[in-house]
Amino acid sequence: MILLDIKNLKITFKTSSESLLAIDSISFHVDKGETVGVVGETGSGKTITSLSVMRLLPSNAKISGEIFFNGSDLLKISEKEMDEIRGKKISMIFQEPMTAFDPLYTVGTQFSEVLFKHENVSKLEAKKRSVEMLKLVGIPESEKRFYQYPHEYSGGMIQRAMIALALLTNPELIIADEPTTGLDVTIQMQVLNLIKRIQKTSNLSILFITHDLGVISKMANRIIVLYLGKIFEVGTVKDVIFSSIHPYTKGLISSVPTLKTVKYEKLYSIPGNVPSLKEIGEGCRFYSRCPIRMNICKEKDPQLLEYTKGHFAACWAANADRNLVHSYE
Amino acid sequence: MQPAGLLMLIEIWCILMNENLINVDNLKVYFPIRRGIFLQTVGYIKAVDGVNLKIKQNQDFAVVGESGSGKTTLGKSIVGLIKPTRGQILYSFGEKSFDMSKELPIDVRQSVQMIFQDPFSSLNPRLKIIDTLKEPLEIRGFLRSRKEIANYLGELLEKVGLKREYLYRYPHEFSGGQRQRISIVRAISMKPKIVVLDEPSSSLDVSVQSQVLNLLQDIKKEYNLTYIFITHNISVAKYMGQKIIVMYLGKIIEINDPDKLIDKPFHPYTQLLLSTVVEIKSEHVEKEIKIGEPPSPVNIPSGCRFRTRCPFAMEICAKTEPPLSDHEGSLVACHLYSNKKKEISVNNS
Repeated sequence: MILLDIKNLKITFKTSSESLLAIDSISFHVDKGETVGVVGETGSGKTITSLSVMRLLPSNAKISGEIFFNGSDLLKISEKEMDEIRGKKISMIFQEPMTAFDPLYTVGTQFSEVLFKHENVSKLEAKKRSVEMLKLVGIPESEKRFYQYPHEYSGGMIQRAMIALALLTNPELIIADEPTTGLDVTIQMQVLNLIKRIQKTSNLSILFITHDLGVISKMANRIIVLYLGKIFEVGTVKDVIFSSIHPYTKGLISSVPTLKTVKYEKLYSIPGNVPSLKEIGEGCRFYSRCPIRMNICKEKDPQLLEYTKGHFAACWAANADRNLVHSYE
Repeated sequence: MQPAGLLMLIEIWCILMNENLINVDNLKVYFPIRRGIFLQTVGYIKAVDGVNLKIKQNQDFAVVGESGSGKTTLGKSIVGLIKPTRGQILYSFGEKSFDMSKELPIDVRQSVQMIFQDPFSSLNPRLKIIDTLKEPLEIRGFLRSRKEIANYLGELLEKVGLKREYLYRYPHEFSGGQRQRISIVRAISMKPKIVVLDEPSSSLDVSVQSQVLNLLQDIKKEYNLTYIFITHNISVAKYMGQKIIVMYLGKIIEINDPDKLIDKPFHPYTQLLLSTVVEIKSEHVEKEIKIGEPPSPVNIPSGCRFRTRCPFAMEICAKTEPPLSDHEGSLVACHLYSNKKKEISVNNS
């Protein structure tokens, strides 16, 4: 069953001199109980997409398209209705938990505030539920921790508290925006295991945003590869990681050094830098960096086409290749 | 001849024989914690707590560890940015040996360079690239005219894949990867022998990270540099180092060749670190391992500092601190491998 369904989402940022198309008609969905990973580099629009679902974009952003959540379009409902959903049915785990918590209030106060807003609970009950949730994410002495300030928590602990806060209202969808970036590998492992464990028991859907392909392949059911506001490839982890179609996905995967990387062999690297949004022309936005570009790539933007069931990619070269194969058959 | 002088001569001779570039001798760096109106010292953060290391010409070390393991403090001490609380760092330059915490001749000082983690805060936003880069050249004084300097720096910029005209731009006009390339130019413009790199690629995008790592390998060969590469990513450490040093709470707990260390880690902490690496295209075995968090560097546990998280902790671990000793070609600091205990532990596990 589909929980979140994004259709033709376009986001434009207007500045005094120009307007930049940050998200260029992307469509995808998240099923109930599913984890969808969004991978992309800086400027790919992954954070913008997640903020648009929460309706937290700055006022100079112009959004068009549809974002269906449980059948109702989040872009059409009133601010009051959105308040009911935001933080209650959809909650968010932010990248830097130390800055996401308010340093002037105790963790307990910030937990209770959420419950007071969304549920009619007494102070005592709010505390009881918060402490339970802190316990669930493995924070020792959670009773004592409830009265402590964010700075008294360690980095790994505050990230777990952040997850507890996101889970407090039993949401249906959690948007995790780089939840483990900046954490030590040991703590990252704990946080990832925790998210997986909780998801198993509560049929939660997760939109998992990251730039780390290793993390995403461990966490997600399906992966969306985003580049400069456009989807390049969608599919299951097996599809995208092990039989990737798009040259960008392939490049990303082979440019990560792994424990098996042979020393003194050059790492693969995608040439050039991610261009700015202003530099995108008519054709494919990966044209300037693509190792297998063709003439058509410069002129026309490729469409997302289905290669095997549920595995989509937007690439002219891959498409030509496929036609070739088909014509031989 | 006075005995002290004689000793020094012998010391210098020893260093020359071993071709050691840098000799870190029982390095301890403690940061005092001050409280109250009179700022009394109530305790110490033991960032580096007794590190011995010999760095040889062309032997790159990669230092890995969690945050708080003291890897950055070690790196900064080697460059001379932090004064050791105890112990010393001797650097042999030419025929002499210098103490890095003392005032040094400028050519000695400049032959050890550092590249920092965050390319956004390590370049002055108010200065054009050329003004940032020319400062050390002017201090050193080997290039005089502005034209000469611009020429020299322009060449270096081209070497790292940037354009000459970028010299006249400001840092905000560059992306993270480009800024890190500029930091590389800043370091190599002094023709250093040793470069300490503190997580130079960890704030970069995946596709840019591999470009920078490749560039660093090329530069190393061309300039005959010796790297001390600090990172939290073991895969990157394997790619960049000829030896991997694993640090935990201010101490080295294992040193080995990258392949051997990854194939067969000896120290339980190294095993733990490796088991938490999340990689693409690897088999994910769902296993609940007890990971835990490192204790605070203010109250370091007695004996072996890893014993509070160690699955194999024994009685002896609380009593004495294991020394770094040789075990099957690896240097490990763990009681499991000290001769008598070895058989017992194998039987137990």
